[in-house]
Amino acid sequence: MIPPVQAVDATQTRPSMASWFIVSQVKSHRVVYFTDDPDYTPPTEGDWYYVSPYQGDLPKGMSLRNCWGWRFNGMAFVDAREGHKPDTSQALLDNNKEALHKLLRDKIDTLRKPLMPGSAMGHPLRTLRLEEARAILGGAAGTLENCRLLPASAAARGISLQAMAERTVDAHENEMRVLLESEMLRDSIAVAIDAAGSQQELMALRHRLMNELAQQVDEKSKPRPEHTTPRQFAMQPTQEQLTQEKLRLGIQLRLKINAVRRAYVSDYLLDDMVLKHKGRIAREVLALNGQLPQGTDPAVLVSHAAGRGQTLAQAAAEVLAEMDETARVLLDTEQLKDAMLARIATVNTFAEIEIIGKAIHKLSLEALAAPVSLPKASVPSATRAESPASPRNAHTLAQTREQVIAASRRAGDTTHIPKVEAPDFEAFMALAKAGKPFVLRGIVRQWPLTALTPHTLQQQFAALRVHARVDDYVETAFTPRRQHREMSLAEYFQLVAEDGGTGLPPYLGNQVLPELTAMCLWPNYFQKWDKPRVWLGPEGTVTPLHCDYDDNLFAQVWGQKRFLLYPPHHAEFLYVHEANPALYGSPFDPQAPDYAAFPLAMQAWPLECVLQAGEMLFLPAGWFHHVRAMSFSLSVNRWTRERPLALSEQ
Amino acid sequence: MSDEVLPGGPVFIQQMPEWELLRRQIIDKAIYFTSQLVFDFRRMLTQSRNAEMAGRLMWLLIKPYAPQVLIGPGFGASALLFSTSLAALADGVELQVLMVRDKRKAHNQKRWVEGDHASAAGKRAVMLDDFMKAGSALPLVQEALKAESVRLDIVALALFFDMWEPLGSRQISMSQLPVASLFTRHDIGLSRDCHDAVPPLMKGSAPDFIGDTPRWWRVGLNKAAAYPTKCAPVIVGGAVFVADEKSTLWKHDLRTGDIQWSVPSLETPQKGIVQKLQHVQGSLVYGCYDGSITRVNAATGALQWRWKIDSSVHATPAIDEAGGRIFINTEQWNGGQPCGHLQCLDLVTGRLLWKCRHAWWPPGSAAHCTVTGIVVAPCNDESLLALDAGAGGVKWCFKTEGLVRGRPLVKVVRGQSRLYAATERGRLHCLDMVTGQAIWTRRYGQGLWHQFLTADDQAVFVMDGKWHFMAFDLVSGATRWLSRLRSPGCWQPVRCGQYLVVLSRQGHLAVLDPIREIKVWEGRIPGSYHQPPAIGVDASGKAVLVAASSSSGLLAFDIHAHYLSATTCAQAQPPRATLQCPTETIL
Repeated sequence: MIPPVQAVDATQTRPSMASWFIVSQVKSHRVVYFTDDPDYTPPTEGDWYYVSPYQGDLPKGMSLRNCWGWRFNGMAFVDAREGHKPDTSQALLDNNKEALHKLLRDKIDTLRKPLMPGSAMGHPLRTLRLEEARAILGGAAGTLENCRLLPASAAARGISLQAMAERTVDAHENEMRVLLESEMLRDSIAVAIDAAGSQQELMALRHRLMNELAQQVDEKSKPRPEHTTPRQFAMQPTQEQLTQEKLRLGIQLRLKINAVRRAYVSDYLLDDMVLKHKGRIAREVLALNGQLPQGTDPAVLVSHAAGRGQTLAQAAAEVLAEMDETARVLLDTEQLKDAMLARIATVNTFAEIEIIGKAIHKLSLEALAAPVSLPKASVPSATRAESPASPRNAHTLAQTREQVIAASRRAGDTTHIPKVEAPDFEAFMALAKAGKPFVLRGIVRQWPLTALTPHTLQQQFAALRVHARVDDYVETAFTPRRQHREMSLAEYFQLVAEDGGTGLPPYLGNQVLPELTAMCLWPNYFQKWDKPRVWLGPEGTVTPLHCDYDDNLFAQVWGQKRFLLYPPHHAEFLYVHEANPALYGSPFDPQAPDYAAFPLAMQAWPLECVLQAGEMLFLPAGWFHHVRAMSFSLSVNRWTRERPLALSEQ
Repeated sequence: MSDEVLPGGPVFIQQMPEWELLRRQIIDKAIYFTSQLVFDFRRMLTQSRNAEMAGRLMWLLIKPYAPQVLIGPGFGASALLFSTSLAALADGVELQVLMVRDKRKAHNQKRWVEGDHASAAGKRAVMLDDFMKAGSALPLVQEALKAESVRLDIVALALFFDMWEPLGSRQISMSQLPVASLFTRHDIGLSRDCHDAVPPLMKGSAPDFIGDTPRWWRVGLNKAAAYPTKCAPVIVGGAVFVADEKSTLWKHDLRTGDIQWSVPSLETPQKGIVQKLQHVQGSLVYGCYDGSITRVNAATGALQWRWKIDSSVHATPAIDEAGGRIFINTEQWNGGQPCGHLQCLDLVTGRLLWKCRHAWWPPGSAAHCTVTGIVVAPCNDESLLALDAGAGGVKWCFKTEGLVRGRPLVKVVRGQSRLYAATERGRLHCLDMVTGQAIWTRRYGQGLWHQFLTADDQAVFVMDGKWHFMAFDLVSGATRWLSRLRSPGCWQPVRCGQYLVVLSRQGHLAVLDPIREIKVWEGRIPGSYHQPPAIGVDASGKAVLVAASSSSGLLAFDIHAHYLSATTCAQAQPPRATLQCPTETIL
């Protein structure tokens, strides 16, 4: 059977249609250029763009200034101006569930661990012991002949066999009770964790876990100072720390003084008595002009002189000189020891402890010749503050940090970030004093800066000099190793377009660009401000987890940014390190939590905030934040230079 | 020399013209290509001329057994029984015939074995049958004779066609009766080994096509198994061009395997460059699954042009070198409502000349006919769309029985332009290129997924999805000859001198001689394959086979000089088709 020829439904390209060449970015398929020039010849170099022929009408509203907002796949345009909004809340929920499961396992294990046999093959022995105990308590005939373990145990403990059997049965019952109770608890909490559908539910479960179950786990996982406490020289150590440090300094001093004196100590037993005797004879010999004294055995001095080929007078003079030197060193070191001990007794700060430690370390015989002068204990980081009178010196910042953390701990955990419509001063202050972040709407939309598009920004400010963060700026964050490259804004856009997408995209972070920030209209919530900072970059730019000890207003001009926030009092879980007194970084990556490397971070509780274009985030001082751009973003922020509002009640 | 019995009847019979005539009739008339090969000999043996020839040959076959009675089961044997007995009669021997029904007749005498039982009793008998595979006919005959209380001395089993099955005729010949076969499956090419293979190594007389050791092996070319089909290599000017699964195009020195340059694509889509690279005017043209089509200088790797013309490209481009045009089927996701395009590009600049939208995603590759100026696009709605190559106007559309996923073949046959297309449902269509009317359509077996048809002057070569290779007559569609592979062939056979080389998916190589219509060599190379090899000559004049494995890299093997020597063709035996036979019986 031969099928018939079919009618065709094929749309021919109509010659009357407009012809275009569309240039799109390989990575995103976004349109970067188009032209209807029939002689347009695409360049053969460059691997970041496609060139496609297109016949038909361009999307309505697309121009060379905004064409980046459309994607093109060779035939069809897709309006991508609104951007993609991935739902990250589920991932966050899953991460937190995993952390809670881990915490639950730790707690249950801690409860059950004391019940474990102390040595290998302990379980069958326990079973045997229990069987014997039950047989003894049951009074079965011939029991004693069959019991091998309990009689030995009873004998070892000096108790009766009956008491040993009762103790064994009691221990078993206690073990079963703990096992059953802990299993029921574990099961109920595990199911509740799995079933939890919101952060609030997980938070409640976390409270239950932390407060009701196996408190010793919390003790075990309490952060150790060397893990989490930065070197805060100006801080007052606790009394316990001070005692320990004074003890350590005393030991260090003793070792050092002993090291100095060791050259003058004989290794022979009772040599000091011999030396004392030799000295008495030497003094008598010298008093007798080199004659041997009567009534005293001069043998030790005679042998000394004979061994060295000296006369008695010479030997006597040498012995006395040696004794004088020893006495002088003893006296000098003794004075030094007294002075040091007195100083150790008065230390109050880590800085003083550090300085005295260094002074002890430098002690030597040569130093003994010069009077010991200890430098005045000062705070190294405080030297960075220009004036002691400055309220922002390291000491005050450290105090501020402590107060912020304490206030945060008092305020408790937060489960969501409210969004408010352009509050007035009083309303803002009322919210901000709570020390918790919130989003302000209706402010940024009024800014002239929002009228700029990526295209117009690129065109109108092409020559603007910027410093781009390049290479792995997350790994080197908050260190001098972070790489910057100075370039023009046009060069930066080119760099972004050519970025292969394999690593972090180049980022214009923390830029002081008055040409742009002049177009921002900041609300009058604060009197003292730092300079506004500009943050510009494509999707995927990241600022790793850190906190600043200044209140912060962060405005999102275009695009979206995802903030993962931790309250200040979670610093103890985040392995923080001081970059400077007002900035603390954390190596923990909340996007890809590595709980094996950072187990304490399981106890930290992130809040997610996706900041949309036109929104402003109030980020109180001390709140840790990890920021990731979810689309091409322009943001501007401003730190205040006032005391954090969270402390305004104090 | 092995004592093992080799397939095939007596040589003196095989040398008779009637034997060859019947062999061709078997290939064309007795085999049906469904999802399996099916045999039906009644259609050919009920023709008097065929029955007469078969009877004469069968009598020559069984005469040594001095039979007095012929017995055979069912309708299949009846024509043979009487044609053989008549041939014997002509030879002066009168034979009695007994016919065994498949079951006892339900009325009248209710007989199971028809014929004169009484006179046949105790005589020497030969059992005849037209076809034997599993050997079930012999127990049937024995059971019927026992039920009818007919005592015969059956001295041999004679078969018109023997499938040479271990549990069929082989077991009978070893344990019960001598088996004489006029034809075996080997006589029509249905053997995995080469045509003259002898045990124990099953090697034939032809030298090894390739050696055991590759000339060179670039192990790391393809590794991912996510999408098995990769790029088919091409050999030009002493160099091998091939794209890897990361969509990078490579040029290797054919002699050493040294890499001379590479050209990455802009993206690395999962499917990459899954087509046959096209060499034209010192350049390579290829499409990539990222939707781009690229032309690079073959000598330097320099980019000549690259355009992204749709959302993705599977198909191999068709080059119209004389007209300076490229035709390529492309795919458009179109926001979840996919469609395809046949696009015509300028060969020099790559600029779009015209394009035509057609239904759904078009995975097939376009074919261009320079004679008629028509280009044909296989479409995914199971149609072939023909357009004017100059302006893109639609000429005709033909609805195929199944999807044409590979590339159709354009061939001028007896002055007429014909289009041959093999579908995934196992149909082979022959169309008139100008009108789109079907000339003939036939089944070729289980459909092969991706097939680029090729032909010589006589036949179009088709491979099925099981393991068969077939040559169908270009004019009539009749089966001219066939062969058996060890696994489904890859895309198409590749020419090597007078031979055709077929690479199968499991790496088996079959070297076929289309003149003698036989498989001359069978071997294997490492790896699994979904794409055909390339064969070319290096700078020193040595022939090399290069194959890109789906997951084991790129391999090059030296080809034995025998297969390219000029004398090979001259020394080759004349094809069986040249034997004297009436043409009307062939077509």
